[in-house]
Amino acid sequence: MREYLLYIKVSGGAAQAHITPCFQVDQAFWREREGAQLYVIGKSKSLALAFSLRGELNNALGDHAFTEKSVDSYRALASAHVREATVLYGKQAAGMTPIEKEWLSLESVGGSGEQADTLPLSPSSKDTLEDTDELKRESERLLAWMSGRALLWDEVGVLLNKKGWAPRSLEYCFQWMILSGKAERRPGIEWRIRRSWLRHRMLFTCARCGSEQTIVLTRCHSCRQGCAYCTECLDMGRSKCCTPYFCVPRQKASQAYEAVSPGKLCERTVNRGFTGERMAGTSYERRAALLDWQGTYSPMQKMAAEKARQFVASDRPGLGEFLLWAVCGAGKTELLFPSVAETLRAGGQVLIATPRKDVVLELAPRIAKVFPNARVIAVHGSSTEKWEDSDITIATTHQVMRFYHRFPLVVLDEVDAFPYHNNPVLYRVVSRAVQPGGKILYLSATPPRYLQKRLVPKRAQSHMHSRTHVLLPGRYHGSPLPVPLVCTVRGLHKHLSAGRSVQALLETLAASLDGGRQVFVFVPRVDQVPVVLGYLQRRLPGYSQAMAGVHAADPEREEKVRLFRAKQLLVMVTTTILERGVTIPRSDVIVVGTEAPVFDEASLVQIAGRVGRSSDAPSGTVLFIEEYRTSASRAAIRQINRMNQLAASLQQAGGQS
Amino acid sequence: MSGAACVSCGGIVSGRRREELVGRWSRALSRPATYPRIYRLVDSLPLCSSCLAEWQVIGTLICECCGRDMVNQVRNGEKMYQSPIGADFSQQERRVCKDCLAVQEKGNSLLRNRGLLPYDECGKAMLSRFKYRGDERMAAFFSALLAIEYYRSYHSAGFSCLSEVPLHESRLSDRGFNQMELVADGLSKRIGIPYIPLLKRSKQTAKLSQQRGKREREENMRGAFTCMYTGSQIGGIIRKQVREVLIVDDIYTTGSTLRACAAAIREALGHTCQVSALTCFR
Repeated sequence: MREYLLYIKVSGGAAQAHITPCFQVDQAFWREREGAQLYVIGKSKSLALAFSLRGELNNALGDHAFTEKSVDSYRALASAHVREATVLYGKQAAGMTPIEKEWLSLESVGGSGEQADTLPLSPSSKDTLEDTDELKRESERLLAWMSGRALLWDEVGVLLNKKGWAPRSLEYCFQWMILSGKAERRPGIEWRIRRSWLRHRMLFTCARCGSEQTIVLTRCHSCRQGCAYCTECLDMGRSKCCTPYFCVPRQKASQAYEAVSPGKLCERTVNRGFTGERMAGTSYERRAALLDWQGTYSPMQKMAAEKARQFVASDRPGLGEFLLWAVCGAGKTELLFPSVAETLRAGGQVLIATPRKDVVLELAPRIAKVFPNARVIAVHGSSTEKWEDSDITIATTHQVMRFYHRFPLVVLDEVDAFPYHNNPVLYRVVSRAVQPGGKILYLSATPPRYLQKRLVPKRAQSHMHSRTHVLLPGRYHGSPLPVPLVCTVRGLHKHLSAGRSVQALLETLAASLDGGRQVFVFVPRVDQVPVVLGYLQRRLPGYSQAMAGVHAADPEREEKVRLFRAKQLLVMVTTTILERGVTIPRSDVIVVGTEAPVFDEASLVQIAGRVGRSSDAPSGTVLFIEEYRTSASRAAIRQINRMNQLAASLQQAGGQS
Repeated sequence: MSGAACVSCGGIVSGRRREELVGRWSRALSRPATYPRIYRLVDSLPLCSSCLAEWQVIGTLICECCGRDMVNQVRNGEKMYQSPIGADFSQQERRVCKDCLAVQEKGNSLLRNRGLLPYDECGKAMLSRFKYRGDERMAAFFSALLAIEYYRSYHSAGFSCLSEVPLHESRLSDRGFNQMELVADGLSKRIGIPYIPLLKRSKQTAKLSQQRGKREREENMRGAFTCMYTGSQIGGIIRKQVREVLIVDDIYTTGSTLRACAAAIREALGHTCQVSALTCFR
């Protein structure tokens, strides 16, 4: 059981409160910087309590000058604060009984007002610390591993285990780092007291995921105090009031990044253009930034990639977010290469965060191939390279939680997809992984409304780009997006379950199949998969062997998708799980039941974007069958038409110039 | 429970189909007298309709000692044995499995055990989420499971108190909570039997997964628990009135833990006291 000692350090008229689990380290540290006097306030088993007291004391110390006599008044202040917190915690934890006498307690330590050298120490520290050189070396080493990460105590253990290194005392090393200002120790759950005229409350915040509504109070047997844990980020390990959470900003890279003047780099690379040439050779370019990509950009892609790169290279303050809005099948991954290379050249690391594990696994080898000299790692829940150091990190969203002020560039793929959309936690987590002054690049085909409002300026809506966004309305092969056809069938679902003919569906499906194309049939709910599948199999007996249905919880899901890719299956009845990421060259799409609320505008645009993605078959059929007219399908068609118009006008302009 | 997330698959708990299934399960699990209570308990389980439809519950053909589901064993031709209940209980005979018969011969301090669910992959996932991930909200789910099983099997027994299988102090401080304490507390509120922590773990044993073999476990567990009460009062109850005690645990694997607990309780409270066990998984 850890105990945290709270003390006030006074040196040269300035006083500050500190927390420590190992007082002898602090004593040794301040002894080196002679003249500091330490006054102990008390000790507590709850880190959250110590943390909130430290804040309270620092506030008080800021208001009044510190004198020797006022130590007692600060002790009184602290114990008053503890009393108030105890009462409030008891109210909020109604129905639970504390393990010890009180929910929260601050114990006093030995004598009062003595100086550091004669002070009786906390029980674990009988010996004073003599040899600080060893400790310094070890903490340097720990710093190297921890740099750019934010980890709970248990996760630190896992990390060091992985690295096969155990310092003599991890706690000492961390304390040394914290005192030198290179790291921060926080409680997993922080609390503060909000006072109002109606009632005072204790507000809990998870230091890791930042959520406030999902904190559950608990009797904790680890600290035996009033404690709380966060249920939002529970899958990543329990964040509690008494678990220390270490945030270590990245050290070296940030200095290196600033050392290279971005202005110069920017000029030079603009002149060279980005049509896939090799970018190595010059002496001060970093090796990792070598881009080995033989493809070419269309003029539109070139413009968008250049805009994104300029954003990454610019050192304008306050310009932190950029939206790369590219329609489905525009080749978004390729557009990233210049921006990534730019950051690598400046000595930074890049994070590419995507919502799903299969995308991570697909993306990692592609990126690794294009950047042959960069270390690329794929980070997801069951990844073995989770703790490696790398130039390019490709991670699922939840793993981003473990990074702290690490990356000068973070790319967020598919911001409108499931885990990000309307989830403030993941946005917070991503913005924390960025270095101060770093950049976030959002990638999306259908950016959510709030992102559009923030990053697409009103007056620039008719333009393709502004300082904060670039729009890429056409596909890489230049053909327009297939425009969906809408067909309203009254009593559609009754027809399907009764086996009566739905002409539009059957004719379109038969025409596609006879033309040798594969077909996605999207349905809104899992329980409709077997209904529609059975209906189609009965109606088109010739193809009944080549049809399958799939949904998220299907154990054979991966196998079926593989067969579909291999053209063993021709018709795939699916829920919205296949709306992203799956690319089948010659395919058509039919949506059955477009009126269901799961099919919103963004989802329908994504679904329509499955069709005609390859350059040898750039057209195809998209059919929306709905029971009654809906605004979502109209809006989706409007958006697709608008993109096509923009692309056409852009192409015309390109042809003229 | 409508609108919550299903603890087993993460789906949404609602729908008319679920109501039907809850009714069907409640009828299967209850007698007419206990139907309303069981219905409320089953309805309170955060399981969605598709998980409820696939729910596996241990049936009525069980070993009357350890509560093991004997349907498959009997189908495979395994015999069930007649055995006197305990050395010092009534001479009524009951049908037990082979393992229990062997244990009976050596002397068994645990009267009987009952479990509601078989320990399958899904149960494993839920239990590890509760125990190792530390999702304390799952305690309500597990205590509801135990309450259902209590009303099904132990409704006529007169327990004076219930107790949990304790954790060793060092494990407790690592984990931060005792999962069975939370469950036992919830169960006692549901069924109205006072929860009194009777036991203390005096010996630290290796983790379940690191132990090999039944005999080694039995050996390890011997004397691992001690009873905390030696006076004449047990948490407000007069000691002599304690005739039957219920201990709850998450899972019965070989039964050595529960037998060691029962032995410790009978050591302290006298051998007239009968100890039964209730587990979520068997």
